[in-house]
Amino acid sequence: MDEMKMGRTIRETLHSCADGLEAPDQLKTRIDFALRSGETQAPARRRPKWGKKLAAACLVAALAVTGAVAGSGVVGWYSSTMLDKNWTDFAETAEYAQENVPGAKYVASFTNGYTFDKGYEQTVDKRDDTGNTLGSFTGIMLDYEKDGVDLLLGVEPVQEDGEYTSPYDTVRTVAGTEVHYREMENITLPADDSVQPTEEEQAAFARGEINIAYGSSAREESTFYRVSWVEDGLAYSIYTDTPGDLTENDFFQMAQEVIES
Amino acid sequence: MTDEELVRRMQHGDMQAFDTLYARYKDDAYRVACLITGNRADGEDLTQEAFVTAVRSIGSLRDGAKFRPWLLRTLTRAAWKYCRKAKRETPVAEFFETGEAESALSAVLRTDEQRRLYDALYALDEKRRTVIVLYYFDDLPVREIARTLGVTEGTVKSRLFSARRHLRQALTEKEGKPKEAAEHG
Repeated sequence: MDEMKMGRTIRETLHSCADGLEAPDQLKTRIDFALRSGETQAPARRRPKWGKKLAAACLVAALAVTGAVAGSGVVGWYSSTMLDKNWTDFAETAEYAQENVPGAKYVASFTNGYTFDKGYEQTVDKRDDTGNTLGSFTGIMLDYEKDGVDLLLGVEPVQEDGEYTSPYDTVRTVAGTEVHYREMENITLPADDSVQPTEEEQAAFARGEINIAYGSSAREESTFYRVSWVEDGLAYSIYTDTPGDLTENDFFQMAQEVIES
Repeated sequence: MTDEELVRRMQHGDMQAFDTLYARYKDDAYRVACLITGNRADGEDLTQEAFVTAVRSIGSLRDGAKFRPWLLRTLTRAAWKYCRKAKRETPVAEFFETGEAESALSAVLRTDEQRRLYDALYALDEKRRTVIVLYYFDDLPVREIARTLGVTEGTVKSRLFSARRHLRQALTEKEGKPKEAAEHG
């Protein structure tokens, strides 16, 4: 079958399937109800998006503890957010950050067009193998958006048992600060241990070659693009798994804008 | 009234502007959602989610003229997560379980060729299926699909190539389902 005929067949099949479909009348009623009911409906509908962010946050945590947990009793860092501690207003986010993450730097927008969308508090618990929390700390996350694509800026206090660099990083000095860039394969698994990483994946994780995070509803594979640095006792990271047209240079540029803010 | 003007009004709290945008794009969104998920119930849920998200985050949309691709991006991402969560990579089966569903797709089933292609489409992973839907149903060019999905044009081309290869195999086989559906692109 030639290319044109196949394309025509695909097109005709899809149109035959869907051209006759119309959004049901009750759909608008459902939407209006969801909007009127506000938070009653919002958490359930937003869960996938927040879940993704939690998974992304887990990446930072897992990267931070790689090779640093021996003897501490800590086997993992577990991040969580409170739905009542998120803001769509930049000024409110900044006010919270100033009080709870003193000295944190951030910008309202980047010169490449990514603009603040929302901010939220993130608490990270350090737990042992029985689930006991041995310590915790609080950071701030800022979500930036451009044409519907998100990226995150995380700022959190540096932890003594954290490890913030890896041999796989590309390192540059930006505005006098050592900044690390890395593209990292990530596997996100359900937190209930219903799905386990393979032995090969566990070995790759132990070598720091991939990240394994938890918190999704099913196994997900992705690549995270991340730039990070430590400055004045705070660990910064800018990352996304949907980089669009962003290049390595763009990530370093965004880091520079935060450092110089 | 243009999308840009309607979005501007929405950003100032005018919900009648949203009603107009909803009326303008509800069927587009619903059809794409149904094609990606493979069934109307999920398509309805996802269309709702996309529009609710659109209203709540309309303030972040800088270029109101891009409302439609922005809405589709919200919808496709929600759809992917929904497909994975529900493990509905082969939802076509659900359609054949009820008379109502079969009726909705009766036009598709006119030929054996279309039936094989339809089966193959829903054996694809959701990312490749989404690219096929946006390219062949929504008639979006590669560049626009890349922007909508937030990936590079190369990624879109790769998924298109892989999906076409899979669908071609299905169309040229006399019987049996293709075996490379689990491939990710």
